[in-house]
Formats: sequence, C-alpha cells, structure tokens
Amino acid sequence: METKNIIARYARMIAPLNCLEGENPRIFLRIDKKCLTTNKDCDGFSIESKDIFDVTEKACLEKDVLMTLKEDKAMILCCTPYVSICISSGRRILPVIDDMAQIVGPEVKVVTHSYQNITGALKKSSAVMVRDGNSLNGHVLVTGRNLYEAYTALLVLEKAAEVMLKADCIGGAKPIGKLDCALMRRKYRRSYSKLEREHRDVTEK
Amino acid sequence: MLLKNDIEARELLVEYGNRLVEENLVQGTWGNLSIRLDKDHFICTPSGIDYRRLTPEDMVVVHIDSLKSEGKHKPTSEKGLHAGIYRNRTSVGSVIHTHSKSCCIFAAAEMPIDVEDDEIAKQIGRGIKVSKYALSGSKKLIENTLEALGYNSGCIMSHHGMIACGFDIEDCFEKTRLIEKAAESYVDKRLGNCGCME
Repeated sequence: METKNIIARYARMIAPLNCLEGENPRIFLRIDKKCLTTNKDCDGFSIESKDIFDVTEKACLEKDVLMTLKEDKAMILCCTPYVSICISSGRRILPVIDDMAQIVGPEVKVVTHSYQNITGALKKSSAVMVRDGNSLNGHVLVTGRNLYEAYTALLVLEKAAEVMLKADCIGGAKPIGKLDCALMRRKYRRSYSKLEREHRDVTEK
Repeated sequence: MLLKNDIEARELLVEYGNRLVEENLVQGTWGNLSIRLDKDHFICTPSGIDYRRLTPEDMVVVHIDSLKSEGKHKPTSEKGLHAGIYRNRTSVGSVIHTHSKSCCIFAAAEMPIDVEDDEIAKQIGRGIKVSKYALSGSKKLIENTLEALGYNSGCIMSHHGMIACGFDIEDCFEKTRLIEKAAESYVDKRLGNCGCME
C-alpha cells in the first residue's frame, strides 16, 4: 500500500506537466519480478492507490522494456510541451546543458514504437521519444533507479528541449563533448545525492 | 545591509533560497547561494537539499582559503567557485548561482547577453559575458568563470547556468533576477522571427 501511495503521489505531480492528446501519463514501477502501473484511464490529477494495479502478466510493451533494464526500476510515460515539438519534428535532444548530460544521458532519440527500438535507445540514455507509427505524435519514456530519479529526468529533459529549441534564435545550442558527457553521467550514476536517498521509494534495495 | 551575526546570515539564505524558487530562478536542489561572514569565511547552502526544506541550521560555514567547512551537511559542490569570487573581490558580500532557464539558453549557445533594456543596463551593465566551458566542480570551471566575471555583476557559465555577485544578498538577488530578465527579453524578441518552434 505504501508503494501504491508513492506511485499515486508521483502521478499527481506529473499530471500538470502532461500535454499528451487523448492519452494519460502513466507510471510503471518494477518491484522484484512484478510491475505495477497506473490505470491508463486515470488522468493523474485525482489518482489514488486503488488506480494502481499489477500488470506483470498482461501484454504491455512498456512493462516488457522496464523488466529488461538492469538498474532502472521506474518508468514514466508522458509528453511535455517542448519534448512534443522535438517528437513531431523528429529532432534529437542533445546534451546542451550539463544537467541533461548527467541525469538523462548523451542524447535522446526519436524512435518508432517497437521493443527493439526502445530498448536500444535506453542503453545509453534514461529517456527515449517514441513516435506512434507514421504519426508525428508520440510520447517520451523516462526511466530512473527510483521514481524521484525518473521524475527529475523528465523535468531536466523538458528543460533541455526548451533550451535547445529556443537557442536556435540566438545562433543555436552547441552540445557538450562526448567524453565530458560520459564523465558526468558516470559520476551521477555512481553516486546518489542525499536528496535522492531521502526520496528513494520503499522498493529500492 | 550589515549582518549582525552568523544567525542572521543563515536566515537570509533560507529567505532568499525560497525567493529564488518563487521567482522560478531555481528548481529543486539546483543552484546555490552564499553570504560572506568575514574576510576568511562565508556561509552557503548545503548540497542536495531542496530549498523549501532548508532551515537556518542546515547552512554550512566555509573557510575561503582552505575550503574547510563546518556544519551538519556538505557545502554546495560549487564552494570553490564562491570562494574564488570572495578571494578576488573583497567588496562582494554575496554570490548566487542558478540554472535559470533563459540564462541556460545563452549558456547552451555559449553566447554573451547584450542587455538591451536601458533601465536594466544601468544596474547590471550592457554586456554579460560567457565563460569557456569546463566540467562542473573542476578548477578549470572556477578559473574560466572568474575570468568571464571580472569585476562585473555576473556572467553566463557555458552549458551550466549563471552566476551573480553583489555587495549583499539583496543586491545579489536583484542582479540575478535582472540578468535572467535581460536574457528572457532578448530571446523573446527573437523567438517570433526565427521559426525555431515549428
């Protein structure tokens, strides 16, 4: 019940950020060999623990992806305003600010909706933008070792997208070099901040 | 603003940390603030604690030369940068570092800000320089930032954010706010013309 309350709390935090048309944001959380998720019919603003259920045995691509990740146990499916512009234009989000390089990864790609494409993209970054078939619409999947980390990655990614897009009007953003990105990312993944430990949900071992 | 003691400085850091959040200049735990206590020490926000949860007791005293700290938490990871500014500029009484959005646009583009508003320019100058890029927390970052900052109100830190300094925290906060406003205004005027949001 504690875990479901935590998931519901994060769902309510994510709801105001979402701009997915006709689709609600979702949270997936892996606990040992099980996966909990929020009800896709709930908009998140009024979500409660009763709206969270076990999806382990159900057909669900996002669940399948989460269960194969090595370290990350939390996943958020959402779409925020500037990320949605990148999805519709097919534009990668580059590490133009060091928060992004540390917390999300060296770049976030746009891929079509398939298990291989999504898992491939998540090998190097904690996020991937997913397009629905031939549509220009889509959503982003953001992962983390716990819900706080996934939520932080979502905020940082949206900020990086906005910064990158708006920098076009003053000459364009330049990405941080690959080596520096890798160093920052490794440092972040190896050490938790005190706040992250405080916000770590009960499922983290 | 003359500080009566260390306790007043702690309370001011809590107050201005919350004001930075209210003005959307910082989010969560990012960014940091400090106030000079005397010629050898400053007091700063700790690392990794949300501004809305900070209490005066959480603040950390740091020795400017040795960077040794006293307090129940670790000081901000940018303590070296704050110390470098206090060492170089004896008239500075407070330093604020943020990752505010509009300044980050300039940081991402590695561009200085031309301050176009005359009223803002009177307070922070016509140009806000940008430092060369270096890894967060590194000595090179400190060197590059000090070089770009010079004796000005603030500077952009490439791919990182911005830093501002003032004779006290009220002055420093106002400069932080104005630098962000100058950046925002510059970008907003050009956004409509560039088609970058399509």
